[in-house]
This record gives sequence, C-alpha cells and structure tokens, in this order.
Amino acid sequence: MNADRPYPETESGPFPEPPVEFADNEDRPITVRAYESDDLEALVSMYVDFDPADRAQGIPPIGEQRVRNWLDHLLGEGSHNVIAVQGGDVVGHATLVEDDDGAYELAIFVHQDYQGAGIGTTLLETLMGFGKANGVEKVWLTVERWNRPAVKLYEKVGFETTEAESFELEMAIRLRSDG
Amino acid sequence: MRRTADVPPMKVLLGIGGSEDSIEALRRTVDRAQGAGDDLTVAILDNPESDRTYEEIEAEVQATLDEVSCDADIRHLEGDPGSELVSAAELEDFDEVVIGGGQQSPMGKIRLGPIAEFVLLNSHVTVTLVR
Repeated sequence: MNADRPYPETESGPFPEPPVEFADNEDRPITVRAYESDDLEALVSMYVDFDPADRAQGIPPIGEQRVRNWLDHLLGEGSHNVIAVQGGDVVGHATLVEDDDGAYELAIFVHQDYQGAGIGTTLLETLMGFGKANGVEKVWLTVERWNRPAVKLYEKVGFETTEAESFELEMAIRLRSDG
Repeated sequence: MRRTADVPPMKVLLGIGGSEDSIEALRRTVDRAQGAGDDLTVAILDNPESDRTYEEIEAEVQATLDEVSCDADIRHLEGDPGSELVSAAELEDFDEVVIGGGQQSPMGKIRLGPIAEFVLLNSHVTVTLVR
C-alpha cells in the first residue's frame, strides 16, 4: 500500500446514488442499493456460493465462518457498501474500506450467474456515487493485470493506473477535492 | 538438536527485511529449523519499505533465536535485497530460501511485496513463502 500514490487531480463523475433500479442485459430486474444489516444472511449466501475460480488475491475467503469474519471487517464503521439485489437474493456487492491514510480501498464481486450482464458497471458507478455522497475523496484498488475486462471497467468509470510494476496493477480515482 | 521426522536436514536461507510478514517468517522458520534440525542462516536485507532499522531487526532475530536456543548464522546482505538473497542462495548451495509471503490490504487482499516478487521469479532454489 502506497501512501504516496498519485491520485488524479480532477474529480470523476457524476455518479448515480443508490437506490438504482434497472434491467440487466438478460432482462432481469436488478436493484442496486445501500447495504443494511438485514441483508447480512443473503450476502453471506452469495459468498458461500461464490465460484472459487473468480477469487482475486485471496478474497472472498472460502468457507462460511471465514466469509463471516471477513464481512464483519468490511461491514464495520468507516466502510461503505452497496449491493445488487434480484428478488430476495444478493447477486453483487461492492465495498469501500478505509485505509490508514484516509483513502479507501475498493473491491467488487458479482455472482457467477450474473456476470457479463452489465451489473458490475452500475454497481461500481453507484458505489462511487454513494462514497462521494458520504465524503469519500480518494479511492484505490488492485487488479490482476490479466483481468482486462475489469481494468477496462475501472478505466471507463474514471480510474487511472498508478502503479504497473508488480503482479497487480494499482489504480486510483478522485471523487472529491475538498477537505 | 531434536528431529521430528526421518528426513534429512536442509540448508535454509531466511531473508528478513523488517516488514511484518518477514518477522512472522522468522518465527515460523526458527521453530521449524529446531524441529527438523535444519542448518539455518538468517540474512538481514536492506528493505527500503521497512520502518525497522538494521539494529532493530538484528536484535529481533537474536532474541527469537535465543528464545529457543537456536544456533543460526546472522549476516547482513547489503545492496538490492531480492538479487542479493537469490545470489547468496545459489552461490552457497542452499536447499531453500524462506521469505515473508505477503501482507494483507485493508480489504484483506493478499499483496506480494517487491522482494518476494523478485525472489519468486528469479530463484533457481526452492522458495517458501510464509503465510
């Protein structure tokens, strides 16, 4: 983690704020909204059922208890979470977790049955809007360099590559310039 | 030295640069060396990302060795940490290089440090990453 990471100077956006309702590319009605504590069990279910081949850098962890411990950390004070919901199921989750420098690390996961349907884009944009509304200025992430679809999605939203010398690319975005 | 299994002891080179994961690697490697009767050498590296000074790392290494009465060589490898460690391992016929296996991001993602990356990609000697 690099505290000297160069963030873009200009603010990205505008971004939608939750809740956002839309039909995905397969015409399924999807709602992206802020996570509430009642959503915990549905979120745990998504991750317990998550395809291990879609893990990135060791997350999500495998096994229900490890998933719960991990979510406990992600859903705590100082984090911002949005979920994509269809019917009673959570099908996607995006999160901002505060680091030691007051910036936020981003991660996004879409269940394998809902990938490639445009949900990730709306989920990501809505998380940016939610973060911005909650005062988040700077966001960063790491992504495996072979994961071109993910890198393209992040670039489309406004992320710029800040470090390209290691296994993973590091990317960053600025949501606000105040404070 | 006590032996827990009927396997030949190994000549092990532990690289430590002072990051949290390298301190954890030290503890686990010293314990394992005691159990297996390994011939352990601890190489203190110049890690620009570490907050610990050379003297602090050396004291930590000595204390960890003393705790279990482990007799290991301690040396200082000056210069580029990854390449110095790999060179020493290959020139001196070590059986294994041990290093810290990466830290976790705020999100819980595993992140490999630059030393681990270099060693993994360049070492002809078996590498163990401690997690």
